Amino acid sequence: MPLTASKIIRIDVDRERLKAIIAFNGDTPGPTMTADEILKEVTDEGIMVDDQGKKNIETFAAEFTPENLPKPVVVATGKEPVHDRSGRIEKLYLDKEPPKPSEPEAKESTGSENPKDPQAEEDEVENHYDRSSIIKVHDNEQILKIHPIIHGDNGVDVYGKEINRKLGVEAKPKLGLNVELQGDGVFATCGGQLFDDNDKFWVNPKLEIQGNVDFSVGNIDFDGEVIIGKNVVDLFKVVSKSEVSVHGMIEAAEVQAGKDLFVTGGVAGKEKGVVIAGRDIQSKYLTNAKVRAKRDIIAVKEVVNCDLACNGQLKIETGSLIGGNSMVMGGILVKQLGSELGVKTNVSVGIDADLKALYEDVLPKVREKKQKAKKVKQVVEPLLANQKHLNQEQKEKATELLYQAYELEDSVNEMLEDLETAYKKTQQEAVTEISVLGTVYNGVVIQFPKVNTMINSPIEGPLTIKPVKVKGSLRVIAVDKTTGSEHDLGAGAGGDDLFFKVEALLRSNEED
Amino acid sequence: MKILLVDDSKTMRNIWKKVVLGIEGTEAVEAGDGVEGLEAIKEHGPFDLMLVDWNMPNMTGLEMITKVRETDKDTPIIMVTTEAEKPRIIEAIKAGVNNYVIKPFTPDALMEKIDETMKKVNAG
Repeated sequence: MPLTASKIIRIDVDRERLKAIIAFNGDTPGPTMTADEILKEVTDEGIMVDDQGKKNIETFAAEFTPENLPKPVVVATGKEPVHDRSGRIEKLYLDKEPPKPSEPEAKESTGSENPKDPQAEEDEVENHYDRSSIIKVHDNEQILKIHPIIHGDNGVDVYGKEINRKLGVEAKPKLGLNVELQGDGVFATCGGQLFDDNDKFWVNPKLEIQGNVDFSVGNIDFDGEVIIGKNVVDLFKVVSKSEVSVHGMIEAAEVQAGKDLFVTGGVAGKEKGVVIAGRDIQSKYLTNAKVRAKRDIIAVKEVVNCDLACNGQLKIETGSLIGGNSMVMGGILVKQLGSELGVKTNVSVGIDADLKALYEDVLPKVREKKQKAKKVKQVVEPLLANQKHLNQEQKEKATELLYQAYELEDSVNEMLEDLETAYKKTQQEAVTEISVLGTVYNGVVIQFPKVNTMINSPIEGPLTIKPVKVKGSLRVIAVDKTTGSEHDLGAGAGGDDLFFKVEALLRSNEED
Repeated sequence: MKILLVDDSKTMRNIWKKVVLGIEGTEAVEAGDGVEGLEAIKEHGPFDLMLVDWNMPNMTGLEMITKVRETDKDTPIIMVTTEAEKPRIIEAIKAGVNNYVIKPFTPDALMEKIDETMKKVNAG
């Protein structure tokens, strides 16, 4: 609160030096001052008086009489600084990240005026198995947007001095592996799991789960390799386009690997588990599960009660294949086939599961289209027999119908050509041989292409079981690997044989 | 091979198209009557083959073929029609068609006629 030279008025400047006010310096009226005198005294203090300030001084001076105390007036106003806004990192992946299991979504109440359709509400029920805490990114996906500093302006105080604004800080994310800065964005340079540790970002092309795949992790759908430290528990699902390694067990869960699937612990599917691999499956054991592999299935201890199919070999060199249904295109190598208890164990060897699936897909379609084509022909045939009496419209219609029949037949031919190609491929690539190092037990039903048999009493190995043509007809023969002696296991040829069925379907088209 | 398909029935054109597109390297242009057919010749011609219906609104196939033959004696033309009477067939041949397919026909029959026509034309 400086006093002017005359000490008649005082000047109050606020702490921010943004406002200067003059007031009479005393309690009772006394000596007066002119506006010019006041202005001089104020400016002598270094205060920059603006136009409004000058007007206020004139008002102040006019009120300033020996009998009157003037009211304080503002003589100078500074300019407040506008501070910079610091840069910030926008985490774009948060928009797509599902809520974490520990943070349930807050749903707004709709109130009683707008009750929800119970069915719609049911449809909206979240699948808790899908709630994942893992942030997945794709190759070249933008994960961050970096917003720059928004610059402010410096201020000016009542003395005309600049008041510096607070400077902003640039947002600088720390970039780790597999992320790169491009312009104002940060992009993943490969697909994988994104990590964000106090604004340090990196992408691991592998997804590594230390513990179980359970509610703490949620279902996994990942492009890259997936490594699971412990188990995949009941009802969870793991899908990867690459390899999957499970160091624990797979329970009644579903695991799909685009490439190989390794299970250190084993698969105990409880009749609900499904394991699928685009290449090999290797597991300590496989029990009560659906198992599909495009190449080999290798188990160390046993395969029990599985619905199994593979395009390669089934290899259980030190263990047993007991119960269930196994369809194996590339032959079987097993220590024990079946069990002492005579458990029914169905093995189809040299038979392609893909061919079976294709046949089952094609068969109803072929029947339906042939039926339709037949109906169309039934309509068009009388027209063709009576062409001379047809009017123009009927002739056009007859052409359309003929074309419809042609298209239906063409479509049937295409499907059957695909089936024939798959059939020929199976014939060329199939390995029709079971190699048993230990014992084959009663209860084992063996199906080779076009011939089958059932084992009625245990046979000690090592032996090879294969179909052999004897006097023009196929029989199932066991060859003792030690002595070379052959043992005829019989020759059934049920109508359920896939090869017979495929051939019959192909033949039926030729006959048509 | 570039083929012009002229018929007022879109269904019929689709049938023709599916048949001719079975020939490797074939490109098909469609027209809905004789007038559109002549325009298509101006716009997309020359063609290697024309399939033309007889009975169409605005300009019949026969009228269109007569116009085409005023300037183009060479492009093979197959008339695909319900007109099965001998005098009509003669009329069409006089107008300049190279071959004649009577509806109803099977796709194979149409294909055979196309083959036959192209072989004759190529043999000179």
